Amino acid sequence: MNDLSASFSNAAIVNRVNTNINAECNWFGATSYAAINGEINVAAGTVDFTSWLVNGTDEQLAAGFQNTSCSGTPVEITSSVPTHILCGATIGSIEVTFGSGTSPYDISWTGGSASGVTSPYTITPLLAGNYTVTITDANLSTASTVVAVNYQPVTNVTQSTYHTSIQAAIDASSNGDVLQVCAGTHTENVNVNKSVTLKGNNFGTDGCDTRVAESIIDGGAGSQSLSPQVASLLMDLD
Amino acid sequence: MSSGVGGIQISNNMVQVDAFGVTAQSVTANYTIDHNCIDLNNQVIPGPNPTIAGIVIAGAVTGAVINDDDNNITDGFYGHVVYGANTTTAVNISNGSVSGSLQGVAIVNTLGGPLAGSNVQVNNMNLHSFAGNHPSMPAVNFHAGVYAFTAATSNSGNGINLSITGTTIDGTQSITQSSAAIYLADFSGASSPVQNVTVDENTITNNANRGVDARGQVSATVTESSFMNNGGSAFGTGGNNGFTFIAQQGASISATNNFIVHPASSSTSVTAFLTGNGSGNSIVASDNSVLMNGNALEVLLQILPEIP
Repeated sequence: MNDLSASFSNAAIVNRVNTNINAECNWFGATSYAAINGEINVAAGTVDFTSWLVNGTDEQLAAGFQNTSCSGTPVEITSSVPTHILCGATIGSIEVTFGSGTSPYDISWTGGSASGVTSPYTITPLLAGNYTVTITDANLSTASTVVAVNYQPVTNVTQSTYHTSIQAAIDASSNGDVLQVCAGTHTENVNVNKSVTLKGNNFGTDGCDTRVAESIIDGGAGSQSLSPQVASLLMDLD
Repeated sequence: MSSGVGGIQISNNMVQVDAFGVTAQSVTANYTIDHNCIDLNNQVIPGPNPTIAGIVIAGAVTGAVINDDDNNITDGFYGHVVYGANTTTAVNISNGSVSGSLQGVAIVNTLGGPLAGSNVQVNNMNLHSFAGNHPSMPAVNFHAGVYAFTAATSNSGNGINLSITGTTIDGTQSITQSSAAIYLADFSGASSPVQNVTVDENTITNNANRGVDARGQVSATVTESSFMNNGGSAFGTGGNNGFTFIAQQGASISATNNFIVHPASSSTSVTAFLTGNGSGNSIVASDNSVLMNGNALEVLLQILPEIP
């Protein structure tokens, strides 16, 4: 028995029971995944409409609706890998890998776009920030993701890992690790609760000798910049 | 910066701050502060702890090795402050400099709370170019290269053991009568020494008011040091003339094998050795060279009953 009590208007497919509707290779009057999906109302179960027909041409008029262009698939972003901005660098990038859908593909991101791209595509140069990346295929199907490109001025030399702040590096470190801190002002209050070595940009240079750009911890007015609470700390910052 | 425990080394930093440079509190293991350049933006700030120091060492367990070496501190109220840094293993303050401050190294047995003693070695320091005058804080408003303070009710168990060796103290001014190159101030009221101080092979020069000022239960032994041109522009008021050595309120000074050269001229009289106010003061001076340097106001030795 079908439950028809609910009102669903202007839908191509409605699934009201907990089962699957297989609806592949249909023409829904649109080519993009988003447009087709908007015509399908799933109250329960699933509706599988991939692949879909990408045009509504009846190729054999005498035998009902005949169309073989069943190539509509949703474009997918399979990975988006940021290259963060490390000590000494000024720009980062995002490598976007995508597939399915129908070429040609366009890509857009916060602050930019490109047409006719192929996978993988590298977005560069990028400053630190959050970027919304969208791939659009020939059928106007889209896939989006948000990727953060971070400034990571602190390197855990022991573990070859990179961190956005001194505190983040300490939190992720193990006793005995060496943390290298880039030149620049690091605006944070740091609680050192592990036995680590903090090296600044002038590591090994006497505080009163000629020095290069400093690694500065600035905890702000009236606060402590550094609170070592550890069994072992070598601090050689600025 | 502040510190909680130990096993810490703070090295080669350039520190420019509005408040304290490095504060090592409750040290439980080895602690090294070395080769830092600390420039303080203020001598005093508003709040409950107004007097600013470059390095503060406050509290350490027995056996903790604290090494304060080759730090250059400028423009604070204090250069180094030590409190309660245990009475066995000595805190080593060495090879650095302090300038632009009222007091170079201050060792105290209270910061307003419990009495706690310290054992401190001051070696090869250059304490010079003293500056500042804060009349609104009369209890601490004086210049001193090295200052040791023990409070009322102190005893030998929470007192101060101090040695000063190879150190230059140059240019304390006479902003108040307490100013001295080395000011050893005990207010314990005890009957036996609370401060035991040795001063060996130092250069004490151009200090306007006093060279060594010991008051209270202080036992100071001064050997093989040079005292040049001290007391030439003393505070003056109330009989506070210039002195190279003054023992007051029961203090004892033993001075041996020292060079003393008075300023060629002075605004008040200048005395090499003076026993001042209070009873039980003692100065034993032997094998010293005391040169008047042509100063018409100079006195070799005075024993005065009362100077305010």
